[in-house]
Amino acid sequence: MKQHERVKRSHRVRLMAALALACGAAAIAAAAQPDPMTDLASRSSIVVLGTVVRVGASEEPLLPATNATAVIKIEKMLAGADLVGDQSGGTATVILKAPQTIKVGARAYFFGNPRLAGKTLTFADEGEIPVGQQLAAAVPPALAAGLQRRSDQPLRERLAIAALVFRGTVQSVRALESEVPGAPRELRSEHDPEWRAAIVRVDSALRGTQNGATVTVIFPNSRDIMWFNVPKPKEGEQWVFLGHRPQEDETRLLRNEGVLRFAQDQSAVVVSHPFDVLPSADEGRVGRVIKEGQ
Amino acid sequence: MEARDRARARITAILVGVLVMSLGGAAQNRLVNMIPQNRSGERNQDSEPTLAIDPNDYNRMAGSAFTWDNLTQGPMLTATAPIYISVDRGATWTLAYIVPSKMGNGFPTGDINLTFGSTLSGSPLHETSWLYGGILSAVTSGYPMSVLRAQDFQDGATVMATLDTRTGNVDQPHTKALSAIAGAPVGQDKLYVGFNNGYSCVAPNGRTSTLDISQNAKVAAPSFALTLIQSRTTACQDGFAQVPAPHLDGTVYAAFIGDWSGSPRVVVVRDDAWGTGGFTALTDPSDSKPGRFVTTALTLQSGTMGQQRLGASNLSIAVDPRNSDRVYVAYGDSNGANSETIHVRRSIDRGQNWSGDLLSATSAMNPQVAINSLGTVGVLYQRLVSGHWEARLRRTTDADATTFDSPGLLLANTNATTPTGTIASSVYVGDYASLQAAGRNFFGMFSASNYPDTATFLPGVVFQRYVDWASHKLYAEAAHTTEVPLSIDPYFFEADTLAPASDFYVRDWTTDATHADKGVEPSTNPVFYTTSDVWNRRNGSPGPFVNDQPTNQDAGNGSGNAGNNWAFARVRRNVTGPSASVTAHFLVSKFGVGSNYVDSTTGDPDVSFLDPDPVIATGAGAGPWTTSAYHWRLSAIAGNHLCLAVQISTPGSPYIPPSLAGATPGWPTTDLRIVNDNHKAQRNMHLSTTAGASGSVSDYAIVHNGALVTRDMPLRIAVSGISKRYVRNAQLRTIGSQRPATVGAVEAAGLGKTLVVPAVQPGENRWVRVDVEAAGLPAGGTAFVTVEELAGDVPVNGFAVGVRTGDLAGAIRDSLNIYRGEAERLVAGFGGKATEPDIKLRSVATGLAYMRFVRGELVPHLRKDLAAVRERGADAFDLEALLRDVETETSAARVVAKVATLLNALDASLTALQLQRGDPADIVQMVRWQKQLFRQNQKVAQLACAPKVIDASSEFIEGRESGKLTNREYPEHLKRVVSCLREAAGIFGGLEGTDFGALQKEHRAYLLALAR
Repeated sequence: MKQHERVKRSHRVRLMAALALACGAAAIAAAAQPDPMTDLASRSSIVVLGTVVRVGASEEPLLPATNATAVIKIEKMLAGADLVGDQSGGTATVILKAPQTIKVGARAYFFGNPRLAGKTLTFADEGEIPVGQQLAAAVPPALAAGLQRRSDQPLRERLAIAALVFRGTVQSVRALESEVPGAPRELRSEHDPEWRAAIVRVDSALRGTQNGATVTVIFPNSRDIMWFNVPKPKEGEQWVFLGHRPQEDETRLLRNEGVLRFAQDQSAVVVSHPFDVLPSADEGRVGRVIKEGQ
Repeated sequence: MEARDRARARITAILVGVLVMSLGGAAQNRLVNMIPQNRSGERNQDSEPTLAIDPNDYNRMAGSAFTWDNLTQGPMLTATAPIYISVDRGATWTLAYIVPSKMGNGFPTGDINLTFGSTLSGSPLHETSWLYGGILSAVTSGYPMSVLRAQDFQDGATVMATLDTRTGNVDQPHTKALSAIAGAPVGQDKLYVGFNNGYSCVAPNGRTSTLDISQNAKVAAPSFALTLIQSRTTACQDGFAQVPAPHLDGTVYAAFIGDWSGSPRVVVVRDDAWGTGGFTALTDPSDSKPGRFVTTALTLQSGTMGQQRLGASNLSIAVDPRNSDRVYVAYGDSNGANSETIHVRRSIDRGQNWSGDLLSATSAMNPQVAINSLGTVGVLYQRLVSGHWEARLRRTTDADATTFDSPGLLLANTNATTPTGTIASSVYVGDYASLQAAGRNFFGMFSASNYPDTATFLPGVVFQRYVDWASHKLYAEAAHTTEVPLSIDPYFFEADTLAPASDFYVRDWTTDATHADKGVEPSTNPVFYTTSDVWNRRNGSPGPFVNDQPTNQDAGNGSGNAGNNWAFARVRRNVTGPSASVTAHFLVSKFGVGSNYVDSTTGDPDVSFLDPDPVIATGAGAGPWTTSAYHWRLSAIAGNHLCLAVQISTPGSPYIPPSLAGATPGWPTTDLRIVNDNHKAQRNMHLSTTAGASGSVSDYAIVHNGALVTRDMPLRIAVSGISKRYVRNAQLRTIGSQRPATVGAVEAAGLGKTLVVPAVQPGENRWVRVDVEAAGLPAGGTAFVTVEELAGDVPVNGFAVGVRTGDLAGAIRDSLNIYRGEAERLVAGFGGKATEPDIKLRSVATGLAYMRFVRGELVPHLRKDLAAVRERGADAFDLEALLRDVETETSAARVVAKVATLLNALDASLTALQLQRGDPADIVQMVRWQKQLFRQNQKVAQLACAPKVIDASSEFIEGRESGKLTNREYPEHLKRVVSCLREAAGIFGGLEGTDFGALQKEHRAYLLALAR
């Protein structure tokens, strides 16, 4: 699979992207003053529309049935397919936030996070919102806003420490350690980041830089488990970069003093997280989240 | 050491027979793809697995791998990473999202490694032991090493708690927990996390091999301490893996590859006190520094093999659960470019000396070694053969665990080029696999391609995920509409030496209907001799069960019906299965610790085993089944303070040899013979009946040295369980010592303390008195204290004494029954005349009548008879003082208690006199001792006749251990060796005759002289 495709898939939940477009300003407004549905969705990796088929029941052998468990039939899966696949048409066990608050036949949006995935799915309910039998096909804007907020959460966290944010084109990439004079020969851990330096031309500045500037970006080229989800920019590619100055707890990852010194001398920024390097198509989304944070 | 090892070799030889028999019969091997059905759409590269098995119940397991919360290895969608859990012995697996991670992060965790402790966590929802983990955490960007804990790994509700965090250049945690079952640390969860602390030359002097240790990780806020286990300066750092291997006796080994960047060598360190001693117990002769070199300098592997990087780990260590002297390591080194060779070596002397390669395999990696309760060594590795990854389990087949089967068990043979490692490609199958031994079986995990082709897996492989075997395709759902690309999956396997359906066992302990021994080896309750499923009754009925515990009755001695006893045992298995014939073999020994068991082959004139061994015809269920009543008798002269044991066997599953006959748990090696073998159980408890809710009694026990060397015998007095509520005070004292206490020895110890009985010679009997004071007992309640014989921190044996309450009439009845037995004993064997054994019990029903009887008959009669007894030996038990004590007491209830103490002392006193005449129970021990002396005593070993003695001894011992000989062959054996004994030690007796006790006594005199 091409890296670009993978990154796109990783960072853009298709449903959520569509929902975000559909919701537009309504979603932004909802984020400012979240209604319960938005709040629940923002805290839930699993959101399903379903109907209670049994209360005080469990389909998971590891989970005894209690008055806080119920089995639902899933009508539609709005979030969570990436976790366990699309369970529409199937059943799941829900650990209810508030026991005995829901009855057989009740139809609701269920919001939660996974607990157990065996023969069937079991998730812990953050809450549920009853809906009528004649639900419109469209996803409620408040729910879409919540899902968007959740998907933006890692982006917000990375923006919080980003010094430079921009869309840029990679001019060159080189192995960093060979560029560091006097750097000691060191043994590497199997999790060694294998730092590289990319020279990137700023095409569209979003924070801390200006169009046309050149920025040195340090990124991990390792495909070890700890790094393979961080995109590896190549010459000629265009990405949105959220570059940060070396953080205190990652200085040891800048494996030797030479790399750290290089970063400081060159005013380089580091990208070390999957959300530090996004497809160029995400520029609008990044800009929106920056504005929301202002 | 050599003798111990030879002895073990013999035992193992028998075990090989057991193994072969089992493999040919009930063995079943299983392989399960662990991806749950609900995650059939996943395409992760789930590599680098570890498996943990709950020592309290082998049905409970947890596994880890590089497994994301999502199906496609994208950035995390939640803040928890999953682990694999099973509660049905690995038949099915579920993901539980309980490992802390971070939403949006690129990976769930870095390296992850799991282990169970063996104390129950007290979780309200599920019975389980504590689960611990070591991870490189994704929660912060520094990716520290975190130590985790779950109280209930299967509820999926609570994220594992972080107990400790180590930052800096940290790598590759390897965790191992073990719960101490005795001594000061009893019940503590010892947790050892090996990790590389300071790679990339940042550690002072390049010493990076480190253990993060908690001496009790189960407490609310456990403390951890780092121990640097590399004592030498390195060029930059040690290898990435530091692997601990603790043993129940407090020995802890750890292995690492030292000086990775300079002159890399496999190093093993050892600590003999649970890791509190700094791991300095093992030094290398080359520089006298801690850490024994197992190899010369290695050429390290590098590059990749079958899409898998090399050199990141490949180190494993295992210690024999039955004997901490025996330790095995497995490691890898270079086999040329992009290839590795794995090696297995061992030490039988606590790491001092190491063998050459016992096993090696080229083009192989991820060696894992484990040792089961039979002493069989298993090695798992993955080997690249013709473009395929083979996963193979090899097991030793020989007496000394040095020869491995060939080619072993092929678990999988999957394509090494498909699928392509598109992501995280360098950890295609992982830097390590996992192998665990639990009981007699081996369990493990490895990662491999999930291309569904039955021809490439162990027959009977189970995929939980949706698969079409005919078209060799994976699908996301039952309808087989969405095809899923191939990926790397984790696989669980069990290689059975003994199938669960054939694993019949006798419980070592039962607390109540829901908390009891589940047949694990070793069993996990430190008190394994008070509530076991072997018991005695005074009639042919098994009696009632209270709290699912059988009701034991003290043995009776005497003529006629008084000497009749019936033994029972309860047998069960954990799963249903075909019906089988389970044979129960009963044995008894004198009460205390170290006394050798006797059975029908011993020729003890005081004990008769009348019935053939009972055979249970099990149904198809899981039981339990109670044996038919096994009739045995104690003669009039025999004491009735005894231990009772059972060992069961089926055609496919014998007990682990050797038999308890002629032996005692713990010796001649420190085998935990009862707890390590679920086919054996024993009951060593004596209760005295007192009237009312409180009572104080003293009881007496033998301390017999069952070992082959003179030694100090540490005895620890403790109180546990519900007895804590009632026992107010207790004390343990040595009595009748014929030698002054050695320096440092104590003569008495209170609760929680250890009393050392000094310099006990092989076969020597000493006596201890235990005073127990209990109060507040409910009607019919019991309270007891335990006395454990320790080897290091491990109780190799133990006994319990205490009180049971009754009403006054019942207490009087019991008192008089015991008196009858002792009176009859006096008359039968000790010249007693004044006492009538057929006392008229019915006339003594009230307190007043009892007081009158005690003062008017019991005390005077005993005083007269004891005068004759005293002529035979000193009154070490202070019987006269006890008689006066009874005389001066005015309360009937207290008289009952004091008479109980008096009769306990009388019984001990008479037994001590009997033992002075020799003991047939010690015959096998004497021959073992003889053999050892003729091999190890330089002066004696040089005699020309020594080899003949050794051979004759071996023949006798092996014949007795295998059941082919009885003690009837003992006189003949002595005839064969007597001339050499005389040549070596002088003349101490003729060693002729047919009185086994007398022969044993003479024989011992020779051996004592030799030993001097």
